Amino acid sequence: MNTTTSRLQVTMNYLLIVLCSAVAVYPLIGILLASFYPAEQGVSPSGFGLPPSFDWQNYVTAWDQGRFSEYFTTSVVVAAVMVPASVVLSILGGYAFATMRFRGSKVIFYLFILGLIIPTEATIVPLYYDVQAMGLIDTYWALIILEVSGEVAFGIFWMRAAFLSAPPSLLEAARIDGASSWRALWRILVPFAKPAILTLTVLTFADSWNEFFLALVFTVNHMTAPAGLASFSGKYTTQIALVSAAAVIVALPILIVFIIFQREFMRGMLTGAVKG
Amino acid sequence: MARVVYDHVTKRFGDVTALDDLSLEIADGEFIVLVGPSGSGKTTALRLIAGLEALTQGEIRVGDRVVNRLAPRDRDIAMVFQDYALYPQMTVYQNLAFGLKMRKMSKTEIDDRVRRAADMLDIAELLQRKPKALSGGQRQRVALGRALVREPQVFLMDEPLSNLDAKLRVQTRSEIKHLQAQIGTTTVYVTHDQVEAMTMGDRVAVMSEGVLEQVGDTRTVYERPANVFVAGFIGSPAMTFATMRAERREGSLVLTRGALELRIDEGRAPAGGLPSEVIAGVRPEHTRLWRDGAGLVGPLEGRADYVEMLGREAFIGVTAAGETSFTVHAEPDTPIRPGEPVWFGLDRGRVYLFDLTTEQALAVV
Repeated sequence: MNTTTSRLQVTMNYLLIVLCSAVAVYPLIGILLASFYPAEQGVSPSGFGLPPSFDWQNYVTAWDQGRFSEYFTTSVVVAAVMVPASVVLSILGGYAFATMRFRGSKVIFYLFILGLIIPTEATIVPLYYDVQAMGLIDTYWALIILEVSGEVAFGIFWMRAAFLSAPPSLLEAARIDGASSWRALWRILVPFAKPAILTLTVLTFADSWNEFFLALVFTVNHMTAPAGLASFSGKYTTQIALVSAAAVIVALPILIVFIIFQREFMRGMLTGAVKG
Repeated sequence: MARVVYDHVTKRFGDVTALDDLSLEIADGEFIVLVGPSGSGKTTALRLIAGLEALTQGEIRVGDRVVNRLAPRDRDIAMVFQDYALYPQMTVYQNLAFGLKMRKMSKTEIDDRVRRAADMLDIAELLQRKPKALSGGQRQRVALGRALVREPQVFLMDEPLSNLDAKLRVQTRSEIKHLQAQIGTTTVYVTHDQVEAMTMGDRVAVMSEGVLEQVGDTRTVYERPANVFVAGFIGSPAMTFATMRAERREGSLVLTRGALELRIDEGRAPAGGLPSEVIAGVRPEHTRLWRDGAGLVGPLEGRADYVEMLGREAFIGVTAAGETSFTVHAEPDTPIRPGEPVWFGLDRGRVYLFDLTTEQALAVV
C-alpha cells in the first residue's frame, strides 16, 4: 500500500516537473526555431512551426547590423571586472559577518539586507546625479560600480550563510594552528565553501550579463548586450527571425556558463539546505 | 612543556557567569582532567587557555608567560576538538603539516615530523587520504596527530573520545594516556564522563556551574569528596544521600530518619560536634547485604524496588523505613527479586556526612 502511494507520488512529481519544464522551455524553443527562418522568403515564424529550411544568415546579419560586437565588448568587460570584484567583496563581507564580533555588526548587516529589498528603480534618480557628478556617465565604470554595489548585498548574505554552515571548530583549529584571519579565510573557509562560491559566481555573472536597466539609464555608447537587444528589436520589430537570432546570441553565453557549472551550481544551491 | 596557572579567572557571557574565580595550578608534564556535567564551565576553562575566548577577570599563565592577551597562535598550545575539526579539503598529510607550514618550518622538517607522528599513531598508510574517507577512529588519530606534530607546550583536549563507540573509546583512552606519558607534554583534558576522568587523569578537577568543586588525585576525589556534588558526581552507580538527624547517645553517634536508625561506634564518631541535621551519603559498593554483619553498620531492613544485573555484580534498589532509598551491592546470583524484603548494612568508615546548608564534607564515619 505504501509503495503504491509513493509510486503515485513519484509519478505526480515527475508530471509536475515535466509540465513546469515544458512551460519554461516552450518559448525558448520557439525563439530558437524562429531564428532559423530564412529572411527573404517572407514566411512569418510562429510558435513551434519548423522553418522551411535552416538558415544561419540571420545570426550573421543580426551580429553585424545590431553592433553586437560592441555590446558584447561592454558586457564582457563589465562582467570581467564586476564578477571577480563582487565575489571577492562578498567573501570578505560574509566572512566578517559570519565569524567576527564587532560593534554595530547587526545594524550594518541589516543595512546590506536593505540593499536586497529596495529595488534599483527606487534609487535611480539620485544615483544618476551621483554618477553624473563623478563624471562617469556612459562609461564602463558606471555599470561596474553600480552592479558591484547592488550585487554585494546578496553576495554577503549568501556567503555569510555559507561560512556559518562551517563548523566553528574548523576556524578555531586554523587559528590555533597559526593561521591569521586572512589565511584562515583563504586556506580553510574558502575551499570549504567552494560550491557556494561557484554558485554565487554563476548567479553574479548571470545578473551582470542580463543587466538592462542600468545600461539603459547610464550608457549611450556603452550598452550591454540586453540593452543592445532591446534597441535592436525596436528597430526591426517586423523581422521576427532576425530579432530571434539576436536574442539567441545574447542568451548564449549565460547558457554556456550554466551548462559548464551545472553540477557545482546545484551543489552550491543545496549547501545549507541539506545538512552534512 | 610548561605548567599552566589559572589565577582567579572569571569568564562572563553577558549576565551568565560561565567560570567563577577559578584558581588552579597544573604542573609541568601533568595530565589533568576537567570533569563536570554540561554547563559546568570545563570547556570554557579549556578555551580560555587556547585563547578562543577572552577572559573577563584574572590571569592565565602558560610557562612564565601571561597569555591573557596573546592570540591563539602565539600561545604554543595544540588542541584536539570534539568533532576533530579536520580540514576537509586537505589530505591527512596536509592536515598534519598545516600548522607547521604556518610556522614557516622547512619542508624537510615538516616531512620528518609528520612521518614521525604518523608512525607513532599508526596512520602512516592514511597520509594521502582525505578526512571524509576515514573512519571515526582514524579521524580521531589524525586529530591527535595534528596536535602531536606541533610539539607544543600544552595539549588541550575537548571531549576527544565522545564521538567514538564504547569499545574504541576504552582502547583510545589508554592509548592517549600512554602517549602522554611517553612524550610528557602538559595535558588538559575535558570530559563529562567520570569514568574517563578517573582512568586518565593524574589529577581530576571536578567542576559545577562555573565553580571548581574539588581538585585532587583520583583516589582522594573518590574517597574524600569535598562536598555533596563531588560525592554524587564521582562514582557509578552514584552515591545515595539522605537528610538525617545526628545525636550523641551513650557515646555513640546515632543517625535517624523516621524509623531508620544508624548507630556509629564511639571510636568512629568525630571528636568535634556535629550539627543536629546532616546529609548522610553512602556509595552502593559500600552498601552490602547483611550476612554475619562483619564490618557493617546495621542491619537495616528495606524492600527491593528493582534488581540491576551488570554481569559480574548486581545492584538492588531498596527503600528502607518506607522512604529512604539505597542502592545495595550484591552478587550476580542474588536470589532477591523486586518486592522482597532485604536486610543490609553499610561499610564501617564509609558513611559520608555533609553539612545540610553548605553541603561541605564534615566527616566520614
